[in-house]
Formats: sequence, C-alpha cells, structure tokens
Amino acid sequence: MSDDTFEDERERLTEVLSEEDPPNVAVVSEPHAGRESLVDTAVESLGGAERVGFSSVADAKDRADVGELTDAENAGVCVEGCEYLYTRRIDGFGPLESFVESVAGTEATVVSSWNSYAWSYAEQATDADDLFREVVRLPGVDVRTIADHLASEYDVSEFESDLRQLEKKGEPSRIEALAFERIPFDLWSFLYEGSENFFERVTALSGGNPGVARAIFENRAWEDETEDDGEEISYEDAFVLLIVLTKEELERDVLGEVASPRSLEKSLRRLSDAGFVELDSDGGTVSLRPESLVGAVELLERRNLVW
Amino acid sequence: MVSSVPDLTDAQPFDIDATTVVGAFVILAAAYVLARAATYALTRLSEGSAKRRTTVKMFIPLTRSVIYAAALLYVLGPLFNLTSGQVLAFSGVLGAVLGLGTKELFANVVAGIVMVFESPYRIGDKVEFGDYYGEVTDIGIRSTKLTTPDDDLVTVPNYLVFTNSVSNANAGSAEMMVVVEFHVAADADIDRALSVVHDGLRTSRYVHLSEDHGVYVLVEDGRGYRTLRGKAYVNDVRNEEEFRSDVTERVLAKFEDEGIESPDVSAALLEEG
Repeated sequence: MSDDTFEDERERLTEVLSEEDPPNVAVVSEPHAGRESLVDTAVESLGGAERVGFSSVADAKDRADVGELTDAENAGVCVEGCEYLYTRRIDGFGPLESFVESVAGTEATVVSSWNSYAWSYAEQATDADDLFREVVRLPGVDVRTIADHLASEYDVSEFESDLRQLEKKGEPSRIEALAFERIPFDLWSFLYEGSENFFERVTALSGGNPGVARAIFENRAWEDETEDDGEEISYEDAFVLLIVLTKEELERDVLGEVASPRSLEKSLRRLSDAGFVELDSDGGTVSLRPESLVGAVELLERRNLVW
Repeated sequence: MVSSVPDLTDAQPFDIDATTVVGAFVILAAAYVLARAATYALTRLSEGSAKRRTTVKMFIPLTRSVIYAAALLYVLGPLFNLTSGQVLAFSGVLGAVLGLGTKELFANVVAGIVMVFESPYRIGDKVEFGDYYGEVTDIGIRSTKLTTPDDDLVTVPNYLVFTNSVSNANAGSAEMMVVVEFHVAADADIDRALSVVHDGLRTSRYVHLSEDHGVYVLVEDGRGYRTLRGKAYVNDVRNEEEFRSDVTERVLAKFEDEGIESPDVSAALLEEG
C-alpha cells in the first residue's frame, strides 16, 4: 500500500500517538482494506513499539493478556487480529474481557486493530470500546487511488484507454472532492456500477476497498454475471456468513460453536456455491472470498444483521 | 361591484343517465385496479429489506386514499352543481342510509380517513388490539388487518382504534423490544444465571444492538423462586418468536449443563395464592 493512501488517517494517528500521554487507539477497517499499513505507522509513531497479533480464536484464547504479550519497559504495543478475541456464544467473551482488563492495567499505549464488523458488534455488546478513546476508521478510496494501485501491481495494458480517460479527467475538482466526501460512498458505488470505465466498475464492485479490488482483478470477477439475490440465502446461511465476515478466516469447529451444528455443513456448501466463502482443502478453515465482500455486506444489511 | 353569491336556483340540473352511471363505474373500477397495483408494487419494494419495510409500507394507505379520493372527486364533482332541491334530496337519502343501521360503516370510514393522517400505527407494526396481537398487514378505509403469530388473519373495524387502547411495539421501526423470562430456584447461583441470560441475549442471531438498544436483565423475587426478565431488541419484528426461542433454547441448555435448576413454578404459585 502506497504512503499516499489513507494520508489523513496516518496523519491523525501520528498526531494522536505523539501526544505526551497518548490514548489507546482502535484502528478499524473492512476486511482487506489495508489496516496493516496503519499499524506500521503506529509502530513507527510509538518509537518502535512491540507488534503482536492473534491469528485465530484458539490463539487469542491462550494469549489475551496484554501484560504477557509485551515487556513492561515498552511504551507501546500494537495488537492485530482483535476480532478473534470473542466468540459469539454464551461464555464466548472471556478472552476479550481478559484483554480489556489487561489494557486497563498497563501503562503502555495500546493500539488495537479490528475488523470493522467485529468492532461494531463488540462496541455494542461489551464495554471494550471504553478503553480505546480514539478510533481511526479507514474509508473507501476513490477510483483514481484504485486505478493507481492496480496499475502499480498488475499489467493493466488491456485497460490502457480507461486509464488514460481517468488521467485526462485529472485530479478531482474542489466540488467533486467535496461531493465525494459528503455523499455516502455506497451512492457513488451505485453511480459507478453502470460505468463503461473499467476502473470505475471495479471501484463500485470493491466498494473502494483496495484489497478487494486486487482480488477482483486477479480473479477477473468483474466478468461475473451472477446476481446476488438475497431471497435465495436463508437466515441461517446469512448468520453463518456474518460470522465469517467478522473473522475473515476461522476454524470450522469454532463456527460450529456459534452456528447450528445440524445445518452448518449445508450452509457452508450453499455459501461456497454462491461464491461468498472458500473452504480449504482439508476442511479445517473457512474464509471470506474478498471479491464477494460488497455483495455479502449488502445481503447482511438487508437482513439487518450488520449495523 | 361585488359579485353576488350565485343563486342555486340558477344552477343547471344534474342529469343522471345510464352513460353517467357506466362512466362512474368505470372510473371507480379503474381506481380500484390502480390502487391494487400500487399496493402490490409498494409491497414488493418494501420486502427487500427489514429496515425499509415499514417506511415504504407507510405510503400504501396514503397512496390508496389519494387514488380513491381523486376518483370520487371526478365522479361526484358534478354534485357541486346540484340545485337546492337536489341537495335536499341527497341529504335526505344520506340521513336515511345512516338511520338504517349503517352508521358503524360510516364511523369506520371516517376513522379510516383520520387514521391516514394520524397514524396510530402503520403497516408492518406489531400491535395489540384488545385480545389480538399481530403484525398490521393492511389498513383499509373500513378496517385494519392483523396477522397473528399463529398466522390467523384478524380484521378489526377502524372505529375501535378511537374507542380502545392500541399498544404498538415498534412504531415504524424494523426493531422491537422482546422480553424473555426464566425462572430459577431460590438457591440457584443467581449471578451465574444472570450472566448466562445476558450472554444468551447479546449473542442471539436475531439480536439488534446499538446505543439506544441495549441488553438488560432484571431479577424479580417470587416465593420459592426467582424470575429473570431479559430484555433486548430483535433485528426484525418478524423474528420475534424465533428470537425468543433461540435465547430460551441456548440459555436452558446452559442452565442444565451448570446445574442451575428451574423451580416447580406451579407449586410455588399455589403456595403464594
């Protein structure tokens, strides 16, 4: 991710962490949106803070105490994968409660990194957000940023004319920039959906998410004619999809603790066939397909499962 | 010179012939078809999203009222040009019709018109009307239709809204509060039971959480047992029963795992009584 992306958010993060007594910070973004680069900025701003992370629910269960994750001398610690700290079931909040208690008890500044859907749920279901006074959210990026990312990483000669068309448009005018900030991004996406310009279509399909745009390009997903029809996804399937969305990748047995074990296999098969999730070859983990993110979120919003 | 009030005796008589009647019938039939089509279209549009449903359905009775009002105005417009004799004759007929026992029908229609503007409830709301509880599925000019949780269709005359209390559970929102009760033995670990019920509510697949919609568990003391009343918001009024069932099933399973006993409530109530 280039240093120009999320410039405002990096500046704000640097400013906050440069205070004499910096507050704890939560960095929140959609899956694949690039919050790792903000964590890089946080590590630098805290003068080489320790960087730790949780890679799964099981991992977070064993290592949720921040005091055990870092040395007492460290001024700061950056913790990634905080979405794994809870499981949405009775008695599923133990690791999160341990983490929160240890954050409250440490002198070090803690920068935590969260999947935005996991954060939204944890924020309302627990008091974890009380300890993170600053929340830095990554927004969707505009079409020019998406185009720059794709052009710098892939061969986009097939779409040279569309790239030149964007370059001809130049930097957005003041009015356009203001409109982009004020109008909700999903409305921009809606306007871009029918565009002839390849990069505008990819921006719409990705919701301005650079990681999702990369996945769409790699898998040529802009050629996918499958229409998302929420009516075909049962509520049970939608709930399983929600859990996968909040974790991005998780073990099947953890999913079985949350979703109905009787119908889990069928739900996963249907979600895999619909292109929302990927099941790994040994059947151990389930992950969200990045290119399906926008469709998944729209479907879950219609069911009032994400807020 | 100020023009004088027109003399009704100068008005042109209104001729009602077969053509006029057929024309009026065609206009009203067209209005009926248009109103049905508009209702269908708005209903289809609203069903795509829980949040959108009540907002869009709010326009259904209003749209129908506008269509019927326009049709009636077109058909009855010539009445404004009646002679004084014709007005008198019409008033007499109206009085006779009301006196013949159709005053309830008239009261329902008037109540229906008032409801369009006052909106004590909207299509999609969960309301309690006397002995009946259900989702409002239609607001007509004469009556309101409810679908109960057992899928019964109840038709309630509109004028009852103004003579009885109506309890509205969600008032236009997609979400509504649901209360789930559990009884535990007096000697059970009440803190643990509270924690289990709290978790059961906040982890439900049907729960909606926000700044304004939190989870609460209250304890009430009964003789020989305690009642835990859990309150939380369901994400869609149509999921009310599923939410209650989901929370109950998981909480009771946990109670059983941990030996949190439920009392014999009927015996306790007999003791109280």
